[in-house]
Amino acid sequence: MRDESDEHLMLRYQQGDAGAFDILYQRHKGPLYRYLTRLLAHDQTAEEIYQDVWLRLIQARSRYQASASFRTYLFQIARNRALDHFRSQRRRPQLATHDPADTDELPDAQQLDVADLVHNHSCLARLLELVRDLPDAQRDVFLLKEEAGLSLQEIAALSTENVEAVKSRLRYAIAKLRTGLREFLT
Amino acid sequence: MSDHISKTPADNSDDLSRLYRAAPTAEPPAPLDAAIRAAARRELAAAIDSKPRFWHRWGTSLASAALLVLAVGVILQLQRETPTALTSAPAPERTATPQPATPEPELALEIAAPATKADTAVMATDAVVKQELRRRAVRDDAVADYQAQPGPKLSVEGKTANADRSRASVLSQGVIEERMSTAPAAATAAPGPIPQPQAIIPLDGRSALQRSEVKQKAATAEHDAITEFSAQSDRSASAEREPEPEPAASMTRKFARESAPDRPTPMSPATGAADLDARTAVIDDWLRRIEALLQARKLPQAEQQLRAFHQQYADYPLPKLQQRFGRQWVDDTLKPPSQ
Repeated sequence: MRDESDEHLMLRYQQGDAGAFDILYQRHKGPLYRYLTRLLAHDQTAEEIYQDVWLRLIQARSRYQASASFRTYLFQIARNRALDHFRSQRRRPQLATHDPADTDELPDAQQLDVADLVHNHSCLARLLELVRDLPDAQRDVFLLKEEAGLSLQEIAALSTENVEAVKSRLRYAIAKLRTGLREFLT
Repeated sequence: MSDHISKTPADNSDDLSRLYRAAPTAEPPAPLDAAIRAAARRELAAAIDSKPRFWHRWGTSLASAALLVLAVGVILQLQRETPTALTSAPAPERTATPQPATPEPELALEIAAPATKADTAVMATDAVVKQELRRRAVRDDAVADYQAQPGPKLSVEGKTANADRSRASVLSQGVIEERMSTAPAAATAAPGPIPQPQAIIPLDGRSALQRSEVKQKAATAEHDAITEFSAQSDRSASAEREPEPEPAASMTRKFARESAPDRPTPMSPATGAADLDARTAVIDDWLRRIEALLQARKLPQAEQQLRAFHQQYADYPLPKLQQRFGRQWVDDTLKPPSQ
């Protein structure tokens, strides 16, 4: 059961197997939780939306079709809930619109030698701060790539954007992060 | 995990990905995990219980509706199976009229299923029912008169019991009369258990017709005999006087006395004393007029009347005719032409 695909587990839960849901939840609870907490930058709101996402998945289990990727389906729900939150806060959502930061000049960023940085807690904390400070669209793409493990095509399909736009946002996000971590490169 | 959509260093995020994964990971709180898992199980349990919940909610209503439909169906079926003759007949009034003894239950059951009888039996049963209705109407009138009179009356319970006995008696009586109507004539000669024999007379259409013919022929013969007798009387005024014939009343008593021991009578089995007397009187009168014709020497007329009498009353004892008119003359007169 542990090696079963997400789609198969979801079908089993659809048919009444509660154990299949436990496996699914165990697999995706961390990435989804981090995606929401780092996207929304507010733990309490993120936890409320996190719980609501799972409840919606449970209630909509009968409508799930195995033809769609379960992970894409789960993060699609989470992203839509995040957009609703942004709209409720009368904050102009920036996830699916053009981010003005994308027009900035792409910084000259070089790849990092992370062999020593992975043990540098200050560097890791700084990385998370830099992610939090990314524009919404770039942060969304970066988190979907790193936490959900989605490809650029999957992110483009999920956000109803073209792949080149998604790639551009990701490129800008990476450059900003590398620039912010430059102080640890000595 | 990593997308290699571009070969430029800016698109390669492997270094950042490694560093990001090395960052402290955050997990949802344990209570939140438990709440979500509990919600998942609760939804499954609700889905499983949805069917029993439906039956729990609608089971009583559906059972009541089914019971109502079943009851209506049974009532309709019973109404359809009940014989028309019995259902259309008015319910017997709760009267204080004395009723015959309670019949056997199986007899009542037999009349309740007329479809299993032969056509004749059904017709006889129908006639019996109609006859019983007429008799009941007469009885009701008598009861009404009885109740109109001052005096003690039976209680309601007694009336109800009598009515029930009356209803059962009607059914039993109908079966008995039905059997009598289809039984052989010899069997019907025995006195029946019905206390109103006059009510059975209309059922015997053959006897009624026979009596009608007898009366008609007797009237004709009587008319001829009276005519002849009158003519003979006129002619015999100058002739020598003959001895007076035996009075009719004494002849009637004689024939009645002689024929009574020889029963069974060929008449209707339900013929009463009045009918027997009337028949005896007709026969006696007929024989007396034959005797008068013989005395008047009107042999052809006497022979014709004797043959007519014998044809009409073939069961009349021949020895009595021979004794009365002479054996030789009776045998010669009643001898078949071929012989």
